[in-house]
Amino acid sequence: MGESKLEAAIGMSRKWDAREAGREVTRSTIEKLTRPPDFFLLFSTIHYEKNGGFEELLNGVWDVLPKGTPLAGGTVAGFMNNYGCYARGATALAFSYPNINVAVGVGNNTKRNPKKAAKECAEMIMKQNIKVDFYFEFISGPIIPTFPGIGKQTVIRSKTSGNLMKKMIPALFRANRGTDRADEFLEHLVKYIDSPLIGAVCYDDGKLSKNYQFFNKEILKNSAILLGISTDMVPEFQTVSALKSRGVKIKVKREKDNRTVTKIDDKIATPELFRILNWKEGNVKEVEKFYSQAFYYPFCYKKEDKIHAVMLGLILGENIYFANKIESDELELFGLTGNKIISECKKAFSKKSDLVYGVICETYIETLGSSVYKIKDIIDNSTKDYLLLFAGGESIVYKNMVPHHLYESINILRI
Amino acid sequence: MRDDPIANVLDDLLKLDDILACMVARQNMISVMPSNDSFKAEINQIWDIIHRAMDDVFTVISEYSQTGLGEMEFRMQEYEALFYVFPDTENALVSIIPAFANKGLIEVEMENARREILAIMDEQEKAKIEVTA
Repeated sequence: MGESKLEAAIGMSRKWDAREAGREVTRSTIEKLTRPPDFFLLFSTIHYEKNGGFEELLNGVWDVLPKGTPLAGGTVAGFMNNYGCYARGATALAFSYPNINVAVGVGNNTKRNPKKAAKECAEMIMKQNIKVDFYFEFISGPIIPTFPGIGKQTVIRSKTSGNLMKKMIPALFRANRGTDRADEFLEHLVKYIDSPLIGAVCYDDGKLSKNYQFFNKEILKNSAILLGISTDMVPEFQTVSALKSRGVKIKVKREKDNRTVTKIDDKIATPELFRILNWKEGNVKEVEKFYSQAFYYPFCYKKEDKIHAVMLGLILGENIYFANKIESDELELFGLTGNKIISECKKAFSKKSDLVYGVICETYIETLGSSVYKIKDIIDNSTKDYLLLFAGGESIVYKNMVPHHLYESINILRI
Repeated sequence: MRDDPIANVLDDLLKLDDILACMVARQNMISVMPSNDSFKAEINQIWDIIHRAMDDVFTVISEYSQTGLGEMEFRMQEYEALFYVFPDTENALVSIIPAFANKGLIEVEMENARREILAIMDEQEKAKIEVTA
C-alpha cells in the first residue's frame, strides 16, 4: 500500500487473560505501522468477561496504544482475519494515513430511545466540525428478556401469558432489554448524516445475554458508537446476500409497531407459522430448538434490491414478535445454505484489494462451522489485509442515504 | 501440570463454557487428556455410556479415515460428541458439548484446535527424524 501511503494493520490475540490479550492485540497491530495510528478498531469475543473483564482488556490495550488514539469497537461472535477464523479472542484494525481526520460520537440507551441515541451520536460528531466521508457504526445487540414467572424464554405458547408478555415489551425497552432496535437507530441517524456507513451489531456467543461496546477507555452497554472518517480515500461498499428463495409467500397483518404479526394469510399467526415451517408442537425445549433454526430460513422482503430478513424475536401466544421492523405486508420465505454462502463469497471477494473490512451475519459462521475456513481460502487469494466480523446484524448506507439494517448479509468496505 | 503442548491445546478448548470434555483419542484409547486429567463435572453421570459409544464411532473412523472421513458426530440424551479426525490416521479430536449449544462457533474452535494439534504432531515428527538421522 506504499503508493497511497495508507497503512492498515490487523492484529490479534488468543490469550485468555484479558490484560495480556489487550496488550498483545494492540502490539501485534501497531507494530506493523510506521506511524502512530489515526484510529483503532477493537473487537473481542465475550470470553474476556470471565477472564479478567473488559476493563482489563482495555487497560491492556492502553498499556500499549498511543495516548489519545480514537478507539471504537465491541464484542462480536467471531472474526476472520489474515491469521485465521476464530470464535474466541481479540482482534484489531488500525489505520494510519497522512490525510485523515476522525470524529467519534456516542449515543446511549439505544433500546430505550433509539431516536434520542441517534441524535446524541450525530450531534457529538457534528460538534467536532469535520466533513465526514464515511462512517463505522457499532451498536448494542439484542438481549433475550427474562419474563417474571417464566424466565428467559423466546417461545411462550400460552395465549394468556403471551398476551401478558406482549404488553410488557415497552417496559422491556425502557429497561434497555429485548431486541436491539438497530434498524430504528439507523433510520433516525440518516436524518443527520450524509455519507456512507457500515455498521455492526455487537453480540455475544449466541446466548443473547450480554454484549458491550468499546469507546476510548470506556466499556459501554446499550450504546451506539459512530466513528466518522474524513479523508481523500474513496472506499468501495458492497452488500451480498446468500439467501435463496424457497418459493413460499405469505401475507401478514401487522400491529402499529410493525414488529408484531397477528395474522398470516388471514389465519392466527403462531399456528400458521408452525404449519408453514412444519414445526411440531412439542415441549418448550424442542420448540426453542426450532426457533433457533429459524434463523437459517427467515422471512424476507426486498427494499431497493436488498433482501431484508425479518428475524423471529419472540413467539407470544398467538402472536409473533419480530426482532426488526417489517416494512411490507408480503413476505417470502428464504433459506441459507453453506454452498450458497461459499458461492456468494467467491463473487464478493474475487476483486483484488489492499484492505477489506467486512461485517457478516453471525448465522453464516454458525452455518459453516469449521468450513468457514473456505471463505478464508477465497479471501487469501484476493486481499492483502482483511478483517471480517461475525455480528448480530449489519447496517449499510450507500451514497443515496437509504438505510439498510440487514440480517443474513455480507457487507464490505474495500480499499 | 504436564508440559505437553497437545494437552495445552485441550486445556484451551476445555475453558470454553460449552466444551464439557475433550481429548485426542482412538479406538479403546484416550491418547491425550487436558493437563489436569479431568473433564467438567456435568459429564460424569453420562461419561461411561458416551465413552462406549465413542469406541463404536472409532470403528467407522478407522474404516474410512483413509478415504477422506473428516468429521463425525452423535447425539446422546442431552449431549453431542464431535469427532474431528486427523487426516489419514485413526485418531480424532473429540469434544462433548450440550445438545443445544451453538455448535457452529464451537466447530470453529474445534477446527483451530485440530490445526494446532496437527502442527504440533508435525513438529514432533520432524524432531524424531532429526534425532534418528
